[in-house]
Amino acid sequence: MTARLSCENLTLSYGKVTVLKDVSLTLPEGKITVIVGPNACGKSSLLRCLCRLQSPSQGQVNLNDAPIHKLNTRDVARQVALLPQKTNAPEGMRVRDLVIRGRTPHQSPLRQWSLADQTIVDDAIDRVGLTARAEQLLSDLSGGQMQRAWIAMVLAQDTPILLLDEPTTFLDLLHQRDILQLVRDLQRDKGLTVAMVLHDINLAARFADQIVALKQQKIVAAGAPIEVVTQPNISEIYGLDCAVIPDPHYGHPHIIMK
Amino acid sequence: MSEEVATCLGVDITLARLITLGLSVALVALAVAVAGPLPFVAFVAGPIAHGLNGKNRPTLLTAALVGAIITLSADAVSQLMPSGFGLPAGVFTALVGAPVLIWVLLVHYRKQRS
Repeated sequence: MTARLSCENLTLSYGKVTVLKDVSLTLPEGKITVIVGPNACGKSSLLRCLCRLQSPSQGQVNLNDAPIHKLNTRDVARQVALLPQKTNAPEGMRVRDLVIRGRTPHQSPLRQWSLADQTIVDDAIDRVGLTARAEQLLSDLSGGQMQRAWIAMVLAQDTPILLLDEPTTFLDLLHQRDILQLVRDLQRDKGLTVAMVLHDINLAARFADQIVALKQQKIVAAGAPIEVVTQPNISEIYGLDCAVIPDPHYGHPHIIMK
Repeated sequence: MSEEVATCLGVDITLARLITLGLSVALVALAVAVAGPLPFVAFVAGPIAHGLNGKNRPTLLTAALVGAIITLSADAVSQLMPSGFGLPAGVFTALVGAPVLIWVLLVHYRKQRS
Protein backbone atom coordinates (compact mmCIF):
# COMPACT_ATOMS: atom_id res chain seq x y z
CA MET A 1 0.00 0.00 0.00
CA THR A 2 1.57 3.27 -1.06
CA ALA A 3 0.25 6.76 -1.45
CA ARG A 4 1.66 9.89 -2.95
CA LEU A 5 1.61 13.17 -1.10
CA SER A 6 2.78 16.34 -2.76
CA CYS A 7 2.13 20.04 -2.79
CA GLU A 8 2.24 22.59 -5.58
CA ASN A 9 3.00 26.28 -5.25
CA LEU A 10 1.77 26.30 -1.69
CA THR A 11 1.31 29.75 -0.17
CA LEU A 12 -0.07 30.28 3.30
CA SER A 13 -0.74 33.58 5.01
CA TYR A 14 -2.37 34.56 8.26
CA GLY A 15 -3.71 38.03 7.53
CA LYS A 16 -0.70 39.98 6.30
CA VAL A 17 1.89 37.56 7.61
CA THR A 18 3.10 35.07 5.02
CA VAL A 19 4.06 31.72 6.52
CA LEU A 20 4.83 29.77 3.34
CA LYS A 21 5.69 31.18 -0.05
CA ASP A 22 5.37 29.14 -3.23
CA VAL A 23 6.46 25.80 -1.79
CA SER A 24 6.40 22.73 -4.03
CA LEU A 25 7.38 19.36 -2.66
CA THR A 26 6.81 15.67 -3.31
CA LEU A 27 7.42 13.13 -0.58
CA PRO A 28 9.40 10.25 -2.12
CA GLU A 29 7.41 7.07 -1.59
CA GLY A 30 8.79 4.68 1.01
CA LYS A 31 11.47 7.16 2.10
CA ILE A 32 12.08 9.50 5.03
CA THR A 33 11.96 13.22 4.33
CA VAL A 34 13.17 15.54 7.08
CA ILE A 35 12.16 19.20 7.05
CA VAL A 36 14.67 21.51 8.74
CA GLY A 37 15.09 25.24 9.10
CA PRO A 38 15.30 28.02 11.67
CA ASN A 39 12.39 28.84 14.00
CA ALA A 40 9.38 30.44 12.31
CA CYS A 41 10.51 29.40 8.82
CA GLY A 42 7.22 27.60 8.19
CA LYS A 43 8.24 23.98 8.93
CA SER A 44 5.29 23.10 11.11
CA SER A 45 2.88 25.02 8.87
CA LEU A 46 4.05 23.00 5.90
CA LEU A 47 3.41 19.78 7.79
CA ARG A 48 -0.03 21.03 8.88
CA CYS A 49 -0.91 21.85 5.28
CA LEU A 50 0.26 18.42 4.13
CA CYS A 51 -2.22 16.72 6.45
CA ARG A 52 -5.06 19.18 5.64
CA LEU A 53 -5.16 20.72 9.14
CA GLN A 54 -4.44 24.02 7.47
CA SER A 55 -5.92 25.23 4.21
CA PRO A 56 -3.38 27.03 2.04
CA SER A 57 -4.13 30.52 0.75
CA GLN A 58 -2.92 29.50 -2.69
CA GLY A 59 -1.77 26.31 -4.32
CA GLN A 60 -2.83 22.87 -3.21
CA VAL A 61 -1.85 19.65 -1.55
CA ASN A 62 -2.42 16.48 -3.53
CA LEU A 63 -2.97 13.01 -2.16
CA ASN A 64 -2.68 10.48 -4.98
CA ASP A 65 -3.15 13.38 -7.40
CA ALA A 66 -6.46 14.51 -5.88
CA PRO A 67 -6.73 17.77 -3.90
CA ILE A 68 -6.61 16.72 -0.24
CA HIS A 69 -8.96 19.44 1.01
CA LYS A 70 -11.76 18.10 -1.15
CA LEU A 71 -11.40 14.48 -0.09
CA ASN A 72 -13.52 12.85 2.59
CA THR A 73 -11.74 13.42 5.91
CA ARG A 74 -12.08 9.77 6.94
CA ASP A 75 -10.55 8.61 3.64
CA VAL A 76 -7.62 10.97 4.19
CA ALA A 77 -7.21 9.62 7.73
CA ARG A 78 -6.75 6.12 6.32
CA GLN A 79 -3.86 7.41 4.18
CA VAL A 80 -2.12 10.07 6.25
CA ALA A 81 -1.36 10.05 9.99
CA LEU A 82 0.10 12.95 11.96
CA LEU A 83 1.82 13.02 15.32
CA PRO A 84 1.53 16.66 16.44
CA GLN A 85 4.27 18.42 18.33
CA LYS A 86 2.23 18.94 21.46
CA THR A 87 0.13 16.02 22.52
CA ASN A 88 -2.19 15.70 25.44
CA ALA A 89 -4.50 12.91 26.40
CA PRO A 90 -7.47 13.08 28.76
CA GLU A 91 -6.84 12.25 32.40
CA GLY A 92 -7.19 8.60 33.23
CA MET A 93 -6.35 7.29 29.76
CA ARG A 94 -4.30 4.12 29.51
CA VAL A 95 -1.78 3.22 26.81
CA ARG A 96 -4.13 0.74 25.17
CA ASP A 97 -7.04 3.24 25.20
CA LEU A 98 -4.88 5.73 23.33
CA VAL A 99 -3.70 3.24 20.73
CA ILE A 100 -7.27 2.05 20.15
CA ARG A 101 -8.15 5.64 19.12
CA GLY A 102 -5.84 5.12 16.14
CA ARG A 103 -8.43 2.77 14.65
CA THR A 104 -11.06 5.54 14.53
CA PRO A 105 -10.91 6.13 10.75
CA HIS A 106 -11.44 2.42 10.15
CA GLN A 107 -14.58 2.25 12.29
CA SER A 108 -18.11 3.14 11.31
CA PRO A 109 -21.60 2.24 12.49
CA LEU A 110 -21.53 -0.56 9.93
CA ARG A 111 -18.03 -1.72 10.70
CA GLN A 112 -17.61 -2.49 14.36
CA TRP A 113 -14.51 -3.39 16.35
CA SER A 114 -13.10 -6.65 15.04
CA LEU A 115 -10.39 -9.16 15.82
CA ALA A 116 -8.30 -7.61 13.05
CA ASP A 117 -8.45 -4.21 14.81
CA GLN A 118 -7.42 -5.88 18.06
CA THR A 119 -4.43 -7.53 16.37
CA ILE A 120 -3.33 -4.23 14.78
CA VAL A 121 -3.53 -2.47 18.16
CA ASP A 122 -1.55 -5.24 19.89
CA ASP A 123 1.05 -5.21 17.13
CA ALA A 124 1.42 -1.42 17.31
CA ILE A 125 1.94 -1.54 21.09
CA ASP A 126 4.40 -4.39 20.68
CA ARG A 127 6.26 -2.55 17.93
CA VAL A 128 7.05 0.40 20.20
CA GLY A 129 7.98 -1.93 23.07
CA LEU A 130 5.17 -1.01 25.45
CA THR A 131 3.42 -4.38 25.70
CA ALA A 132 4.31 -4.69 29.38
CA ARG A 133 2.90 -1.21 30.03
CA ALA A 134 -0.21 -1.42 27.87
CA GLU A 135 -2.53 -1.16 30.88
CA GLN A 136 -0.63 1.70 32.55
CA LEU A 137 -1.91 5.24 32.78
CA LEU A 138 -0.35 7.60 30.27
CA SER A 139 0.32 10.05 33.09
CA ASP A 140 2.59 7.46 34.75
CA LEU A 141 4.84 7.12 31.70
CA SER A 142 8.18 8.83 31.15
CA GLY A 143 8.64 11.29 28.27
CA GLY A 144 10.18 8.68 25.98
CA GLN A 145 7.50 6.09 26.74
CA MET A 146 4.77 8.68 26.22
CA GLN A 147 6.13 9.51 22.78
CA ARG A 148 6.23 5.78 21.99
CA ALA A 149 2.60 5.42 23.04
CA TRP A 150 1.61 8.20 20.64
CA ILE A 151 3.65 6.64 17.86
CA ALA A 152 1.78 3.39 18.53
CA MET A 153 -1.47 5.32 18.07
CA VAL A 154 -0.49 6.63 14.64
CA LEU A 155 0.80 3.16 13.74
CA ALA A 156 -2.58 1.66 14.62
CA GLN A 157 -4.03 4.11 12.13
CA ASP A 158 -2.25 1.88 9.59
CA THR A 159 -1.55 4.56 6.99
CA PRO A 160 1.04 4.49 4.20
CA ILE A 161 2.08 8.06 5.06
CA LEU A 162 3.29 9.18 8.47
CA LEU A 163 3.95 12.81 9.42
CA LEU A 164 5.79 13.65 12.63
CA ASP A 165 6.17 17.18 14.01
CA GLU A 166 9.35 17.39 16.09
CA PRO A 167 9.01 13.91 17.59
CA THR A 168 12.20 14.26 19.63
CA THR A 169 11.83 17.74 21.11
CA PHE A 170 11.45 16.92 24.79
CA LEU A 171 13.65 13.84 24.87
CA ASP A 172 17.22 13.24 25.97
CA LEU A 173 19.93 12.09 23.53
CA LEU A 174 19.38 8.37 23.99
CA HIS A 175 15.61 8.61 23.58
CA GLN A 176 15.96 10.89 20.57
CA ARG A 177 18.09 8.22 18.92
CA ASP A 178 15.67 5.45 19.95
CA ILE A 179 12.61 7.22 18.56
CA LEU A 180 14.27 8.03 15.26
CA GLN A 181 15.67 4.52 14.97
CA LEU A 182 12.14 3.22 15.55
CA VAL A 183 10.85 5.48 12.76
CA ARG A 184 13.63 4.24 10.48
CA ASP A 185 12.84 0.58 11.27
CA LEU A 186 9.14 1.14 10.65
CA GLN A 187 9.82 2.84 7.36
CA ARG A 188 12.04 -0.09 6.29
CA ASP A 189 9.70 -2.86 7.42
CA LYS A 190 6.41 -1.38 6.32
CA GLY A 191 7.58 0.74 3.41
CA LEU A 192 6.13 3.85 5.03
CA THR A 193 6.49 7.27 3.49
CA VAL A 194 7.63 9.50 6.36
CA ALA A 195 7.97 13.25 6.65
CA MET A 196 9.13 14.82 9.89
CA VAL A 197 10.26 18.13 11.23
CA LEU A 198 13.52 18.02 13.18
CA HIS A 199 15.61 20.75 14.75
CA ASP A 200 18.84 18.82 15.03
CA ILE A 201 20.65 18.87 11.67
CA ASN A 202 22.96 16.06 12.68
CA LEU A 203 20.06 13.76 13.52
CA ALA A 204 18.38 14.82 10.28
CA ALA A 205 21.50 13.94 8.29
CA ARG A 206 21.67 10.56 9.96
CA PHE A 207 18.04 9.49 9.56
CA ALA A 208 16.84 11.24 6.38
CA ASP A 209 16.77 10.01 2.81
CA GLN A 210 15.84 13.48 1.72
CA ILE A 211 16.34 16.76 3.58
CA VAL A 212 14.24 19.80 2.76
CA ALA A 213 15.59 23.04 4.16
CA LEU A 214 13.30 26.02 4.60
CA LYS A 215 14.32 29.58 5.18
CA GLN A 216 12.08 32.60 5.29
CA GLN A 217 9.01 30.70 4.11
CA LYS A 218 10.73 29.13 1.09
CA ILE A 219 12.54 25.92 0.23
CA VAL A 220 16.20 26.84 -0.18
CA ALA A 221 17.69 23.36 -0.52
CA ALA A 222 16.38 19.85 -1.04
CA GLY A 223 18.07 16.55 -1.67
CA ALA A 224 20.14 13.83 -0.04
CA PRO A 225 21.78 14.79 3.29
CA ILE A 226 25.21 14.92 1.66
CA GLU A 227 23.96 17.54 -0.81
CA VAL A 228 22.04 19.69 1.64
CA VAL A 229 24.19 19.59 4.78
CA THR A 230 27.14 21.58 3.46
CA GLN A 231 29.04 24.43 5.01
CA PRO A 232 27.73 27.10 2.58
CA ASN A 233 24.12 25.88 2.95
CA ILE A 234 24.20 25.87 6.75
CA SER A 235 25.73 29.32 6.84
CA GLU A 236 23.05 30.57 4.44
CA ILE A 237 20.09 28.93 6.22
CA TYR A 238 21.05 29.56 9.84
CA GLY A 239 23.67 32.29 9.46
CA LEU A 240 25.93 29.95 11.40
CA ASP A 241 29.62 29.46 10.83
CA CYS A 242 30.48 25.77 11.01
CA ALA A 243 32.58 22.92 9.71
CA VAL A 244 31.04 19.83 8.12
CA ILE A 245 32.81 16.52 8.66
CA PRO A 246 31.77 12.93 7.93
CA ASP A 247 30.53 11.27 11.11
CA PRO A 248 32.97 8.55 12.23
CA HIS A 249 30.35 5.76 12.43
CA TYR A 250 28.34 6.02 9.24
CA GLY A 251 29.92 8.79 7.20
CA HIS A 252 26.85 11.06 7.20
CA PRO A 253 27.62 14.77 7.11
CA HIS A 254 27.97 16.14 10.63
CA ILE A 255 28.17 19.81 11.48
CA ILE A 256 30.45 21.26 14.13
CA MET A 257 29.52 24.76 15.20
CA LYS A 258 32.22 27.37 15.47
CA MET B 1 -7.15 14.70 22.79
CA SER B 2 -6.69 17.85 20.77
CA GLU B 3 -8.77 18.94 17.81
CA GLU B 4 -5.74 18.34 15.58
CA VAL B 5 -5.56 14.71 16.59
CA ALA B 6 -9.30 14.27 16.15
CA THR B 7 -9.20 15.77 12.64
CA CYS B 8 -6.24 13.61 11.69
CA LEU B 9 -8.18 10.55 12.87
CA GLY B 10 -10.88 11.44 10.37
CA VAL B 11 -13.41 13.02 12.73
CA ASP B 12 -15.44 15.89 11.26
CA ILE B 13 -15.26 18.17 14.31
CA THR B 14 -17.89 20.68 13.21
CA LEU B 15 -20.39 17.92 12.52
CA ALA B 16 -19.59 16.12 15.78
CA ARG B 17 -20.09 19.38 17.73
CA LEU B 18 -23.42 20.08 16.04
CA ILE B 19 -24.71 16.59 16.77
CA THR B 20 -23.61 16.68 20.43
CA LEU B 21 -25.06 20.15 20.96
CA GLY B 22 -28.36 19.29 19.25
CA LEU B 23 -28.69 16.06 21.20
CA SER B 24 -27.99 17.65 24.59
CA VAL B 25 -30.40 20.53 23.94
CA ALA B 26 -33.11 18.06 22.94
CA LEU B 27 -32.52 15.87 26.03
CA VAL B 28 -32.52 18.84 28.42
CA ALA B 29 -35.65 20.28 26.78
CA LEU B 30 -37.41 16.95 27.19
CA ALA B 31 -36.38 16.54 30.83
CA VAL B 32 -37.40 20.09 31.78
CA ALA B 33 -40.72 19.75 29.93
CA VAL B 34 -41.56 16.62 31.93
CA ALA B 35 -40.11 17.37 35.38
CA GLY B 36 -39.90 21.16 35.52
CA PRO B 37 -36.71 23.06 36.35
CA LEU B 38 -34.51 21.42 39.02
CA PRO B 39 -31.68 23.86 39.68
CA PHE B 40 -28.17 23.02 40.99
CA VAL B 41 -28.35 19.26 40.43
CA ALA B 42 -25.76 19.37 37.65
CA PHE B 43 -23.41 21.60 39.64
CA VAL B 44 -23.44 19.28 42.63
CA ALA B 45 -23.70 15.82 41.06
CA GLY B 46 -20.50 16.20 39.01
CA PRO B 47 -18.11 17.11 41.85
CA ILE B 48 -19.65 14.55 44.21
CA ALA B 49 -19.30 11.80 41.60
CA HIS B 50 -15.71 12.86 41.00
CA GLY B 51 -14.97 12.60 44.70
CA LEU B 52 -16.67 9.21 45.00
CA ASN B 53 -14.95 7.78 41.96
CA GLY B 54 -11.43 8.83 42.77
CA LYS B 55 -9.11 9.76 39.97
CA ASN B 56 -8.61 7.98 36.71
CA ARG B 57 -12.04 6.57 36.12
CA PRO B 58 -14.78 7.98 33.93
CA THR B 59 -17.39 9.73 36.07
CA LEU B 60 -20.35 9.81 33.68
CA LEU B 61 -22.26 6.86 35.11
CA THR B 62 -21.62 7.80 38.74
CA ALA B 63 -22.64 11.39 38.03
CA ALA B 64 -25.89 10.20 36.48
CA LEU B 65 -26.63 8.01 39.54
CA VAL B 66 -25.76 10.76 42.04
CA GLY B 67 -27.94 13.20 40.09
CA ALA B 68 -30.83 10.74 40.12
CA ILE B 69 -30.47 10.17 43.89
CA ILE B 70 -30.44 13.93 44.61
CA THR B 71 -33.49 14.52 42.43
CA LEU B 72 -35.39 11.60 43.95
CA SER B 73 -34.62 12.67 47.54
CA ALA B 74 -35.68 16.25 46.78
CA ASP B 75 -38.93 14.96 45.29
CA ALA B 76 -39.51 12.65 48.27
CA VAL B 77 -38.99 15.51 50.74
CA SER B 78 -41.40 17.77 48.85
CA GLN B 79 -44.01 14.99 48.73
CA LEU B 80 -43.63 14.30 52.47
CA MET B 81 -44.23 17.94 53.37
CA PRO B 82 -47.67 18.70 54.83
CA SER B 83 -49.95 19.29 51.88
CA GLY B 84 -50.41 22.97 52.76
CA PHE B 85 -46.83 23.86 51.74
CA GLY B 86 -46.91 22.53 48.19
CA LEU B 87 -43.24 23.41 47.57
CA PRO B 88 -41.82 22.01 44.29
CA ALA B 89 -38.83 19.65 44.34
CA GLY B 90 -36.71 22.34 42.66
CA VAL B 91 -36.75 24.42 45.85
CA PHE B 92 -35.13 21.58 47.80
CA THR B 93 -32.44 20.86 45.21
CA ALA B 94 -31.62 24.59 45.36
CA LEU B 95 -31.65 24.63 49.19
CA VAL B 96 -29.16 21.77 49.38
CA GLY B 97 -27.36 22.46 46.12
CA ALA B 98 -26.44 26.12 46.57
CA PRO B 99 -24.42 25.65 49.81
CA VAL B 100 -22.72 22.52 48.42
CA LEU B 101 -21.78 24.44 45.27
CA ILE B 102 -20.29 27.28 47.32
CA TRP B 103 -18.36 24.75 49.41
CA VAL B 104 -17.01 23.01 46.26
CA LEU B 105 -15.94 26.36 44.81
CA LEU B 106 -14.20 27.32 48.07
CA VAL B 107 -12.29 24.04 48.21
CA HIS B 108 -11.26 24.47 44.59
CA TYR B 109 -10.17 28.05 45.22
CA ARG B 110 -8.05 27.05 48.23
CA LYS B 111 -6.46 24.21 46.28
CA GLN B 112 -5.48 26.60 43.50
CA ARG B 113 -4.01 29.12 45.92
CA SER B 114 -1.88 26.64 47.78
